[in-house]
Amino acid sequence: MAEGDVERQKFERWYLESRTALLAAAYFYVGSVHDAADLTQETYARAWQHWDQVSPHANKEAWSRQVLHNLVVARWRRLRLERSRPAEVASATDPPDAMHVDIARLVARLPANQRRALILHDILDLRIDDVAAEMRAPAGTVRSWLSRGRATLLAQRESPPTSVTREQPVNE
Amino acid sequence: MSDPNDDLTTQLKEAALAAARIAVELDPTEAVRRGTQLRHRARIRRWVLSSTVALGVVVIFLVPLPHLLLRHQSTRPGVTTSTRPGVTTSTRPSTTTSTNPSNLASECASSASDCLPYPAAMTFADSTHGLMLVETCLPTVCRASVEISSDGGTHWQPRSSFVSFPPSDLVNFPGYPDSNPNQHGVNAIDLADAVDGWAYGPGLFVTHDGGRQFHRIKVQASVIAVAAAAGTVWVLEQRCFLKHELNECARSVLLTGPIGGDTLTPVANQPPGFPLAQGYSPGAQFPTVIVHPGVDLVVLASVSGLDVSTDAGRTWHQEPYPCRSPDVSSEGRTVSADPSGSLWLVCTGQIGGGFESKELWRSFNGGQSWLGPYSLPSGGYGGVIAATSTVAWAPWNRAPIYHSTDGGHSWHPLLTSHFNGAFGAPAAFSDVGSDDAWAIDPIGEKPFPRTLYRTTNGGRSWSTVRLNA
Repeated sequence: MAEGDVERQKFERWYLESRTALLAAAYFYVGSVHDAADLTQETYARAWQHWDQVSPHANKEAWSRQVLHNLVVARWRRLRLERSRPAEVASATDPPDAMHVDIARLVARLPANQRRALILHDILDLRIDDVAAEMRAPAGTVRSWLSRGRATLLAQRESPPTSVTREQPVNE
Repeated sequence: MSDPNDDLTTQLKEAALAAARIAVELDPTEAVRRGTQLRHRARIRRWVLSSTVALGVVVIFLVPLPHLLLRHQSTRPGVTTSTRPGVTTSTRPSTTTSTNPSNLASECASSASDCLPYPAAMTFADSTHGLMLVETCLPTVCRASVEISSDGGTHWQPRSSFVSFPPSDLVNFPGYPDSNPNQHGVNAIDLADAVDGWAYGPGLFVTHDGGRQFHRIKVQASVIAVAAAAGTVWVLEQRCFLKHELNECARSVLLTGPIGGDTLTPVANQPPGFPLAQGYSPGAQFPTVIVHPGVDLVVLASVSGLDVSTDAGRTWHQEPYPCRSPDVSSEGRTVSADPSGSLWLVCTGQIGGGFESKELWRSFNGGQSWLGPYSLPSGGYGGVIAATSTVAWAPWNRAPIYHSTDGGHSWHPLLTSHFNGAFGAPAAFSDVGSDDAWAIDPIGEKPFPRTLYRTTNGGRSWSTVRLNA
């Protein structure tokens, strides 16, 4: 079998193993299942583009999460420039159900660092120091982001905001 | 009654699982096709760029304009060249700003709950003089200010913010691709005494009047650690960058200067350092700096091992960690020192859900040999804060504050009614000596007033101070 075919098989195996977690993370970043799917595919396309560097990487999942986050940042900036930020974060989706959309909306409303910390720690089950590593932040700062994010989520879950939900900037 | 934080986590995970059902529709073939397309585009871009450069070189050599260009550059306004070799400084005004608290309050009046001031860090020089670093963020800008206490934390006097920075600077490590190249953010604070102190990470600011005024110290890269003792401050800076969408870091540089001054110079003989694993996330690998004046001990503690100097930074050697258990073999390493100079090493492993296995080791000779392991309670990731050679505190996430009075052999939970939740952790913690400690609950009770807990008897009792929201 040619070397290219072997690498292609390795890539596809990794893709199938990791796509669920990456898609879940993307969903909470953007609040839309279809946008999340697009971002997930673009992340894997970048991985294949740089596969000679990514393949030997000890933690390809972390690499893909970082690239996903960069793409989310770029997407938010593009939306801002186009002055067409979605009025309803999850309005263009066919969501799993209303309750899940509600919590996704609330997460999407969180400030960028709090949202990212929450996604990495509470949804993807990364431990605090791994979250700190990915976010280039000290563990204490990550803890504070988590505390603040959860406090906001809990408060808003009990008394949901009535204003129009807007997607928050991503590390802008 | 169930913990609301647990309910929240369950709800988040259910939503993630539901959304991830669409994952079966994702096909690697499409990603390969798109990735291949990106490769071709990148090749074309490189070819166009190299062709343009080659053409430019030809034009420059054919057209006699180089001297005119040089003259133009030398008179360009706003740029001067330092007399120090290799250093160019810009005369562009610093973006450091001072903001009247009332202005900030009016800005925040129209904003959401995120505008609440957040106690990011706290330091006490002695049992009475303390500084609290407070971050207040609007969606596009954060401001850092300090609150000053001169009565052991009972009363706090807010000062005007001394710097504003983009929210991306809320991280104190370099290398984030969208971060401000001239980073100003501060996320940590340290007082050498009641007068001199630093706010840092990734920017660097100094005070010489107990926190009433801070001013910026120019450094060449992001500041990742500061330590001060015996009239000397040590600052570790490092620059990282993206390459092929992977993060790479230049070697860190250790600077030193006198406490009370604003001048920092690189240490002549730099510590060898441990190579950072090539990849995405240098943050957790950055060393911390520990100094102890009595034995001229300077330690850079990284994930891989210790860089140790016992002659105030003139010579260096490296020491490995003793962590051996499979549970903690390849995870976090946190090192701290008590005033006697002994080191406290916490080796951490991952079991899951934030309850990591931990081992505690002690060294009384700068890491040459270690005693242990002593067991530690389970809890979130974190090290210990050693007040003396026998007294230490452990303020971890997802755990109460633990306290040891026997050199780490046994640990006792404190403030269990405040930091016992699945997620609770002090936003900031500081200690002085064996008996005095301060911990801030960042959330408190609705509507989230910050609450400071203080003990003066080693945790046997705590007084409560409500901080202004």
